[in-house]
Amino acid sequence: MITANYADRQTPQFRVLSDGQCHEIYLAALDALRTIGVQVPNAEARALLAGAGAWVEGELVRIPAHIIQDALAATPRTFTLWGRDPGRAIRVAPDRVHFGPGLTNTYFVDPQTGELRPARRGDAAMTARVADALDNIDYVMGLALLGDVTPELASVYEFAELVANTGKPIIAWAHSPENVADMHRMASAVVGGVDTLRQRPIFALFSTYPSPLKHADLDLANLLWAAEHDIPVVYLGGPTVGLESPFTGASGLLLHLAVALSGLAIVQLKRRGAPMAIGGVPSPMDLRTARPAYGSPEMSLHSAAAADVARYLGLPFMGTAGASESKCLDSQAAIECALQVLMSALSGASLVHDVGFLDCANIGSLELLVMNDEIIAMARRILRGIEVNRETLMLDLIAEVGPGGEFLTEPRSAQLARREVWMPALMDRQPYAFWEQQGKTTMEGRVRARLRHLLNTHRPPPLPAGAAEAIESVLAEAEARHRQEPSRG
Amino acid sequence: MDLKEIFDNTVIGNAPKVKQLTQQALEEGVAPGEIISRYLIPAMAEVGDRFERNEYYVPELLIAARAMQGALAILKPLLTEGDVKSSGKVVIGTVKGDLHDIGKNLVAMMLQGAGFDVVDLGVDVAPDRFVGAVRENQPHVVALSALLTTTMPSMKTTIEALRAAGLREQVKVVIGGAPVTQRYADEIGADGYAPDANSAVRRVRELV
Repeated sequence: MITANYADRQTPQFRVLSDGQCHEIYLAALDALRTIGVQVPNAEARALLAGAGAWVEGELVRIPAHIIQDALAATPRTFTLWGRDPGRAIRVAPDRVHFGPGLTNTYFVDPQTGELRPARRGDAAMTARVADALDNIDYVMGLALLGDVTPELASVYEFAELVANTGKPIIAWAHSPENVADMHRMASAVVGGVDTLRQRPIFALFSTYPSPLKHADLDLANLLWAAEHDIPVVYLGGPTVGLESPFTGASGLLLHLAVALSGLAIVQLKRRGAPMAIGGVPSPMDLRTARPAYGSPEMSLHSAAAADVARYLGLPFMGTAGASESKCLDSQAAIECALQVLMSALSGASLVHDVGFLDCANIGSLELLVMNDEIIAMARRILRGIEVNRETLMLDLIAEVGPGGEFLTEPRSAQLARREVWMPALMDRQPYAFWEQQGKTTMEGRVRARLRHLLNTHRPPPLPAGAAEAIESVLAEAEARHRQEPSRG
Repeated sequence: MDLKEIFDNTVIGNAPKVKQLTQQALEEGVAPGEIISRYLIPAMAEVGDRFERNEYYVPELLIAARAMQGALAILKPLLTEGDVKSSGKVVIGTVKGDLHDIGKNLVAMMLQGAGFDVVDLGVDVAPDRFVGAVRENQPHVVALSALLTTTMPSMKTTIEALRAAGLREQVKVVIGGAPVTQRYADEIGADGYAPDANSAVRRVRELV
């Protein structure tokens, strides 16, 4: 966790939007919801909105401002996401910055062979194990869409791998409410019961909305199931600016906010006080490929602006960083990730995700996750800022040592060395001669060596007795259910 | 008392404690030479190892060195003929034309910490001053520092001056500084080169 823009002690201050600009975007979103409306293809969600006073015509729902304002008032400013290891719990709130991987990548860079191949069983387990070991990764997502299991149950298989291989909080996706229920059963078995899970949820549900101004039926159904069972939710969407919105950042932010707030209203009407974060990846469309450009400066700029708006409204925000357009671990990946990580950390986004993405989210890379761990550590140091007071000015020590003296052996100064000076784990700062002696390693080489080392040595906290069997039986029952009714998860 | 406490407190750089333990050991009749050779010098070797293993950084190295120096200040006057007085003697300086001393000072501090007697000639040291210092102090090693490629040739002229004075065979010459390489050391006939302060100490230890 990193704290950004905190005022008790001055840290580097960073804003993209002023409060006045945030207010304008919020008012425009309220206008859009009231006058244009949003497509709500889920019947229960429509009924909830209608019951609160929204106007429903077919699937189109126009929402008056009071519903949104009530939802904002009802949404907790903060919630805790627990891990299997209680020491790993994170407090989700604006300006409390946490980093984690993303999910549903079609391809995976095999950490043993380095080859690019379709994601498969075992990949999410490796992601969880590596993320569990990395100091600067705070929560876990799968980084792989398991391609060799029953497609409708892929998220359940993924969750089974994640929960067995990390003590950190998990953010999971689902194809259907049945998937969410399966994960809920697994998590209950792991923590020792439904009531414990209710009090200390070890996972949040990640759900997405399409753009512009529409929701998806199953995603809403998943949200509603999770909210009803006190599983925290993250609701994230675009638009891809230029493609699903006009080309201006402001219009992209407005469309992101309008759908996110209508989702917030649906969740709060289902269960008032449900813990929830909104998220947006208002990345621009690449002008050549028309794909959302994760590696673009606008992605980080718009995301930081969206974090400003969310903070203005008192909502935790899911941001995006550590996600490259490059196809492999190279300089492009390093440049894009470094900018994204620093920008998102400065912005105070609560849950920064997609760390470890390559090729516009198509590839999950544990190598990139490991490299980002070092980048995040650097950002973390920068965000700690500089403490200025009598103790840190050290005028008395400077007087004692005098002009031309040396400070290095002064215990008062030396004892602060490790606190004040961040030391790299992977970056090389040695003199050339040593670097040469040690085999002229590159950053990429050191990243891969560390990844192999972590996979060979890191042991996440073991599951409690009986949990593995419970997880297996949930999977077996899900398969049996799926055979009877193949359309559902 | 447990004499190993001297070793332990030197490693963690607790200077007041090392001083007190050294006094206590002397009062209990332990020979000064034994305290140095069995506890202090091994402690600094351990500190060097920890640095190599990335467990210690430069400040910890120097804090430990300072603890050792505190003990040496008490012990040295008490040493008798035949006792190991130090790890060796080093004359050090930044060569003529070069006014940089941060790196040279760091090496000097580290050498002292490792138990060497260090004669620091300062900066902008002309070859004949090195020659005079070698004649006077009879060191095991002369250490030359330069930060600029433009002043590196002074390293060569210093070695030549030592040779002309007939002193080259009795001392080892080590060189260091940002632009210096092993290749340059070989070219000008230096005995050793080290890329940073800690390895400089190791190199000097090998040469003595």
